[in-house]
Amino acid sequence: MMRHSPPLIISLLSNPAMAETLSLSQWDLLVRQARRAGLLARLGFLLEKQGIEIPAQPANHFVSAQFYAVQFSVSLQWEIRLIKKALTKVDIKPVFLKGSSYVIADNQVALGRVFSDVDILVDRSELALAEQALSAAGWMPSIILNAYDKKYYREWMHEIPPLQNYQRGTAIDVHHNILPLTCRHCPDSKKLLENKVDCHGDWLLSDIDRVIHSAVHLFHEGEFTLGLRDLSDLDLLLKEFSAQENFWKKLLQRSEELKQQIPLFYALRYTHQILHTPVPEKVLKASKQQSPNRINTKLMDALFLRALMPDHESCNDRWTGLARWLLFVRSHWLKMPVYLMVPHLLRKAFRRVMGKERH
Amino acid sequence: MPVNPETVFVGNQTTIAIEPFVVRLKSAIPAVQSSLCHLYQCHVFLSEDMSSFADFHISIDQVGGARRFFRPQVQFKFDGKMPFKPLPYSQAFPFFEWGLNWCIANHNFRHLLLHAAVVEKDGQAVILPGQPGAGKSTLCAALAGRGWRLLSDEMAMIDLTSTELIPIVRPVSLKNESISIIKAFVPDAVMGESFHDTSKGTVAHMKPPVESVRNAKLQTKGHWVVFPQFRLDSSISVETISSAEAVLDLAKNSFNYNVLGALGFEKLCDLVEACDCFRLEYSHLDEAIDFFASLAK
Amino acid sequence: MDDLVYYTSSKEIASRELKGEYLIFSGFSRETLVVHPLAFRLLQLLKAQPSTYHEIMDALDKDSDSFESDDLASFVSASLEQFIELGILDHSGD
Repeated sequence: MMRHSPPLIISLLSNPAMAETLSLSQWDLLVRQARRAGLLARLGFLLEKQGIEIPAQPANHFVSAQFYAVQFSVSLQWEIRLIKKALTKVDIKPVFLKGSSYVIADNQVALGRVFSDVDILVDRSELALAEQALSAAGWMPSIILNAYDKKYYREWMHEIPPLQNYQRGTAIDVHHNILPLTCRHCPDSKKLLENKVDCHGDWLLSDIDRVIHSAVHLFHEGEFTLGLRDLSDLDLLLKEFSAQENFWKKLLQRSEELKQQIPLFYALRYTHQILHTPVPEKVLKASKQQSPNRINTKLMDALFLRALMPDHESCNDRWTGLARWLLFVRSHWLKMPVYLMVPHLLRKAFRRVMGKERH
Repeated sequence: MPVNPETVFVGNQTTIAIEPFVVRLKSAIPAVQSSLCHLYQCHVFLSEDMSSFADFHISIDQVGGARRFFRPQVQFKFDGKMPFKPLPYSQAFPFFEWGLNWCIANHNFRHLLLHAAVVEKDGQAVILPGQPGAGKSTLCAALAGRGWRLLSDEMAMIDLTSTELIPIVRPVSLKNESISIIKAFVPDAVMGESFHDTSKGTVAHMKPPVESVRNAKLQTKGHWVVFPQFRLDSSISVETISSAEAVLDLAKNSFNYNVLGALGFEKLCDLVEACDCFRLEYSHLDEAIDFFASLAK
Repeated sequence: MDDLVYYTSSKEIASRELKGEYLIFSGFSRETLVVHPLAFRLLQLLKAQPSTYHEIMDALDKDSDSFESDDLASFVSASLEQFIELGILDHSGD
C-alpha cells in the first residue's frame, strides 16, 4: 500500500461510528472527499443509521445531499414508469440494470445513490424496435455521432448510442449485453436473460448476476471518478446478498459460467481490502484460483488501490495520475482487440485535439 | 474601512464569513484579492483557527501553459473541480461572484432559493424577482441606497421551516447603464471597478451598506412580491396579481424549486400567501423608489 | 368508462387553495398547475378515497352547478386523463 492511513471517507464508510471523534476540520475534509466521490448522500444516510449527530455546519451539506437523493429517487420512479409505457406499446419488457434495479428492488445499495442514465437490457433482436418505440416517446440520440462513432456503437459496443428525452433531458442507455461484443471475455447475454427475475412486475437480473454486473462494470471501466462509489455499491450488494443461502458458492460458480472470474476476483479483493467487506478468506482464495490467467496482484494493487480512491487532491499521490491513465488504456484493451483499439484511440485523440469531441 | 489584502490573505488564501456560509478562497491574482477586500470590507475575514470548516473551497487561478501569454484566462475551481470553461483574465473577480452563486444554488437544498433581490424596511421585506430586463439589481441598489436593508441582490433564500427570508449579503452586481445610474442616484455608494466585455456587457459591483452586513443574521418575513419591469419612457404602473400567478412566476424564477418538490411548493405557497403581489412597470428610478416608500408606510 | 377501474391520487403530490385559486404540484412530472375548482375537488375526492368514474361523477354532480351533464362528463374524463399523464393520479387499469 502506498499510504499509511486511508482517506477519511474510506475509514468512515467501513466504520461510521468513527464519526463521533471527528474534529471540525476533519468534517470539512470529509464533506469534500465525500462530495467528489459521489458519496455525500450515502454517507449521510449511513451516519444517520448509526445515530451520529453531525455538527451544524457539515450537517447542512449532508442534509442537502440526502434531500437531493430522495427527490432523485422520486424522479427516477417516474422515469421508469414512462420507459415501461413506451416499450409496452411494442410488447417489450426490458430488464432494468444497475441503479434503476436497486430502486425497484429497494436494495440497501439504493441509499443515497444518484446517477445520470437509466440502463436497460433487451435481447439483441429487440434492439431496433426498442429504439423506435423510445424515439416515438421522445428519446433522441443525445450526442451527434459521425459515421465512425455510429459504426463503433452498432458493431462493437454492447449498447446503442445514449438516448436523451427531448422534454425532460433524462437519458437512457439501451444495452443488449453487459460488455462490448469485441471484448475479450464476453458474457453470453442469453444466459443473463434466462436468469432474470420478476420484482414487483419488473424484470431484473438475478441478485448474483447484479453483483457480477457491478463487478464487470467497475473493473472494465476506464474512468474512475466514481470508482469508490461503485466499490461502495459492491460492498453494500455483497453485505445484503451474502445472507442468502450458498451465496458465495453460487457467486463463484456463476462468474465461471459467464467468464467473468477476473472482475469478480478484483471486486472481492478490493471491497475486502479497501472497505473491509466481510468476504470469507476461502472465497477470496477460490476466486483467485479460478481465474483463467495469472494475475499480477502486485501491479494491479498499485493501480487499483490508487484509482479507486476519491478523485480529490487529498487522496492522490504522485502516481495516481499514471495509475488512472494505465487503467484507462487497459479498459480499451479489454473492450477491443489491439488492431481495433489503436486506430480507435488515435481517432479519439486526434478529434479531441481538434476540439470536435463532444461528451 | 478598507481591508489590506496582505493582512487577510496568507499563502494566497483567505477565509471569509458570507453569512450563512463560510467561503475559503485561494487566488494569487492581485485583482481578485484587491476587489474582494474592497467590496467585502464590511464582512468578517476569519483567521486560521476560527475557520476549521468552510462550506465552499474556491480557487481562481490563471490558466497555465502557452495561454499565459496569449489572451490569458482564469479558471474557477470548486474544490479542485472545474464546473465552467475559463474566462478572460480581466474577469477574474466577477468569475468569483458568478461561481459562488453557482456553488450555493447547486449544493443547497435546505432552503428554497429564488432568483430575486430582497430588501427590507421596518421588519417588512420586498422580494424582487429577476427575469431578464427587469432591472432588479438597479432597483435593489437604489433601494439599498435609500435606507432599505439589503438582504440579497441575487438570491432570495427561504427557510423551509419558518418561511422567513435569510440574508446573503454580497456586493450588488450592476450592468451597463445601471452602473452610471446608481453612481448618480447613490453618490456615496462604494463601487468596485468596471469589468468590460463580459457575457453580460460591462459589469461592476456596489459594496453592500455596512448596516446590511451587520444585520446579516437577521431573518425577516416577506410582505410583498414585486415583479419589476423596466420599460424606457413608460409611466409608472402597478398591477396587482393573484397569488397563484405569483407562485407560478416565482417557481419559474427559482434555482432549486424543481429539486425541492412538494416541500418547495408548500413553502412557496406559504410565502406568497403572506404577501401582496404586484407587477411594476417603470422607467424612472425615483418614481419606483416612491412606490416602494408608499408600500412601507 | 370501465367501472372496475379505480382512480387514486398519487402519493407524490401537493395541493393548495390560495385566495380563491387552486394549485396542484406533481412530484413525478415536477409540474405546478393552476386548475379549475372542480378539478381540484376531483383530486381532493380521490385523496380521500379511491373511486371509479361513476363514483366520481356522482360526487361531483352536486358541486357542478355551472356544468351541463355532458360537459361535466367530458371535463371529468379530460381531467382524469391529464392528471394521469402528469403523475397526479394513478389508476388500477392496465
